[in-house]
Amino acid sequence: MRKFTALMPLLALFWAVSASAHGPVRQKTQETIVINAPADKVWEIIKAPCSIKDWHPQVAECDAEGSQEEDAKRKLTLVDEGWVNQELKKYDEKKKLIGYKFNFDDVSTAQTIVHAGEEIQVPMFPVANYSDMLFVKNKGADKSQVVWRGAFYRAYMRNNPPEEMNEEAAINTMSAFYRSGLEGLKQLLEK
Amino acid sequence: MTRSPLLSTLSTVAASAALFFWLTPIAAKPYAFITNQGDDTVSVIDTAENQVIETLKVGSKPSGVAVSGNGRIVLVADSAGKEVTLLDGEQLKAIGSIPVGDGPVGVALDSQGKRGYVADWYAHYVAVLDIPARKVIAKIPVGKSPSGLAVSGDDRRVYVANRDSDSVSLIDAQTLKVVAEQKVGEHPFGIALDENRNRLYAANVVSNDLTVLDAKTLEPIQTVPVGDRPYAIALADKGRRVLVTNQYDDTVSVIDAEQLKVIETLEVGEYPEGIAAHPDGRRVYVANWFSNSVSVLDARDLRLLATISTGNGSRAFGRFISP
Repeated sequence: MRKFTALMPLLALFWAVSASAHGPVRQKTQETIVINAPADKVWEIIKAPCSIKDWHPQVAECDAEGSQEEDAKRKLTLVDEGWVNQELKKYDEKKKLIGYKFNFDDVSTAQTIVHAGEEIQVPMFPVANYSDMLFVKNKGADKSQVVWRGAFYRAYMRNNPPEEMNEEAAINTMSAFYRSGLEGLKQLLEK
Repeated sequence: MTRSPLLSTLSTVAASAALFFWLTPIAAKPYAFITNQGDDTVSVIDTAENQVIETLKVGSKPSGVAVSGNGRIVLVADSAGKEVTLLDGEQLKAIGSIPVGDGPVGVALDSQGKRGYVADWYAHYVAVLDIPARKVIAKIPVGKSPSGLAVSGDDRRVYVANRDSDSVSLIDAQTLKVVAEQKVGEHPFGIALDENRNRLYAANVVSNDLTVLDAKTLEPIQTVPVGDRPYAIALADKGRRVLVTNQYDDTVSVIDAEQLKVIETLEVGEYPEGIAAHPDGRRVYVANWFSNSVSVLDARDLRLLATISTGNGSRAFGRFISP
């Protein structure tokens, strides 16, 4: 990998002034799955902050701190060594709903690319101002529907994003993450 | 019971007036114009019936929207289209578009629909539009990623929230110069002007609060904590009630303007963003981005009145209800 060292000071300056901007168009995506298990049983699993490592095929490790309170946090380490730090955003026993949030500086870098003459770090989840909700609905005695949905911006904060960090990349990455997670959850519960 | 001739004449007049009213095909104003970012459309709600009566095609990824003070012109920011779309606020149809900069988000119009303002997220200026001539007549450099805009009733002052500079700027609409800038909370997005109390409110997305400023001097008066990720503000009941959408809580905080504290938190749809007050002073309309709907609130009784299905990704950021 060639290093454009001359760009580094410039880059540092750029990060300093715009560490939290993003494109003006917010995106959303949603995946759902039907599981042959009661909603209560599904909820018992998904409500535990670190159970995700037991059911999500892409999550290798999980470290959590805090309880189901406002400032609970967890760090997910993925099977390919990447990581993300998340903060609990929503927790509702009644609605059987749990949600996390993170920003792009809470995510490890997947690769460094050169775009518009600058070195750009592409986060493993190429999103910004991310928040999600995972919830389960009762669909009968032994049936439930699980929904995982997210809202986010693309990670590239200025105009004309590279394809690794445009809206499509953000949606595709998150949709695939939700899909494989829900399938893993179904497998675990229908064993 | 005998009735006086005058009374029976009056009631006949009333009855035929009512009949005439019912036969009139034109829907009652005011309208709410809801931008649907995922559909590239605007849903027009007839607020008398609380129903969508028209869905208009606009440009790419519309977010900001504003109705002129006289209700005749509606300005829509096509965020991904590098342009704004103009609608006829009475005929309910698109009447043109004006190319602007790279990232139009917040928009505002003057009282007569002659002049428009567009905040450019990427290029950090407010574009000034001559609406009849369909062109940009000036670009006023402001803070970083300008978003929410407000225009005073006499059209002389324009306010803008500079999201990434954590500030608001005051623009003199005659000289087109920034005459004051003031730091507020973290990442102000929506703003609202209460001329009765000479106050400007700014919703700070990251610090989860509202900054209350003196509208003439921009001197900060108070900071009011609200919910999680407050986005936009509406003033109801002549400014007695200040309502703020909390995007991460799926709620609206209702603030009493005298006490400057939250007196009630109302549940709305998911990811509420745009919020605007009805001219009746009571009803407040909230666009729910994730739910693809609009919640109608009663700001006096503090309750939800109705939920209206709109299009995909309703944002309606701005003053979206006609007078």
